[in-house]
Amino acid sequence: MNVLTNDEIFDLLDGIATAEVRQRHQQWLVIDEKYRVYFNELRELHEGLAVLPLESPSLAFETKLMSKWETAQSIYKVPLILKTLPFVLAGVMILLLIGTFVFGGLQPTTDSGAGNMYEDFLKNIDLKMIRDLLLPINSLLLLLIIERLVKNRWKRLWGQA
Amino acid sequence: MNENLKDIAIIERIRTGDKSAYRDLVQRHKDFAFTVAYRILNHREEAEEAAQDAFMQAFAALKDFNQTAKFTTWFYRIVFNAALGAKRRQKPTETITEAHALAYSVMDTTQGVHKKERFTQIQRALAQLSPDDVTMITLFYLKEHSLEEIAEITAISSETIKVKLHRARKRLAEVLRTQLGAEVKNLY
Repeated sequence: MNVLTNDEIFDLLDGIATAEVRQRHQQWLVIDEKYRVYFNELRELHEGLAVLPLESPSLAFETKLMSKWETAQSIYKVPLILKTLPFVLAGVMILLLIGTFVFGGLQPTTDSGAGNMYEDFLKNIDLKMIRDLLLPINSLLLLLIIERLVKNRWKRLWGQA
Repeated sequence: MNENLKDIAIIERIRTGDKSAYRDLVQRHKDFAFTVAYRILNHREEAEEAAQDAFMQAFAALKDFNQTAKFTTWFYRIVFNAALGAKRRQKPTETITEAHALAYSVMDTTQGVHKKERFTQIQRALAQLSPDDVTMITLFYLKEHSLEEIAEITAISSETIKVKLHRARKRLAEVLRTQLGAEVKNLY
């Protein structure tokens, strides 16, 4: 009859040993003093670990933590207007571009009619300057929006990990 | 109400903007978070830092927490990772000393003398094990996690956890035996 291995003894202590292991254990307890001492040593350790108390942090733990959390919240709390500003600006610029290039093209080009004022207005605007200015700004805003979306997604993924 | 449902109810309160619910969550789990961190780090201040770090990470990620999962498994994984991260950054000299362990053990006056001595012995022996061994033993015995839950927390298979746990307990018994100077020798 084989003596119990450490794994079998631990299975026994955890209450998951098979009937055959339990039976062998009972036999070894009776016939072998050294086994009895060794088993009791592991059993005492098992019982000691099971009742080992939880340890408490310092009394200031909770207060410190809540203070840290509130500070972190205030740092990362971006006002709604700042959050939406890039989107508003981008929207306005897109509308301006559409207004300039699409609606401007639909206006009457003859000297008579309601389109004169708009045409005159367009003639006075340096379209090249607008394109040179608006397009880079729009591109920058687009990059900013993409960066924000990617950053938020990354933060969420990192938070889950 | 079972423990997980209580946690879920607190998380719901947090989601609806009840700031006092954060404190309730901390009160429920601070001891366990601190104990896990302390057993791994063997340093009270660093363990507090690691536990606080874990709570901060959990608070920040609460909005993404899947309520069908068990909160403690999710949170203890964060605690475990925070403590291991702190352990990697820890200087080798900043470990527990016998004096630390004894000083801490006498803080608890409610335990019987024999029990207190036994706890001190085990705590000292645990302090000599590797973080891996300590984690297995701590998660298994504190709050009686199943092997599957420990596997989920540590991202290791439950079969490996079982082997690691058995080895860790064997090593702990050996350290205790050495400490106590017992004459009992391993049979094998």
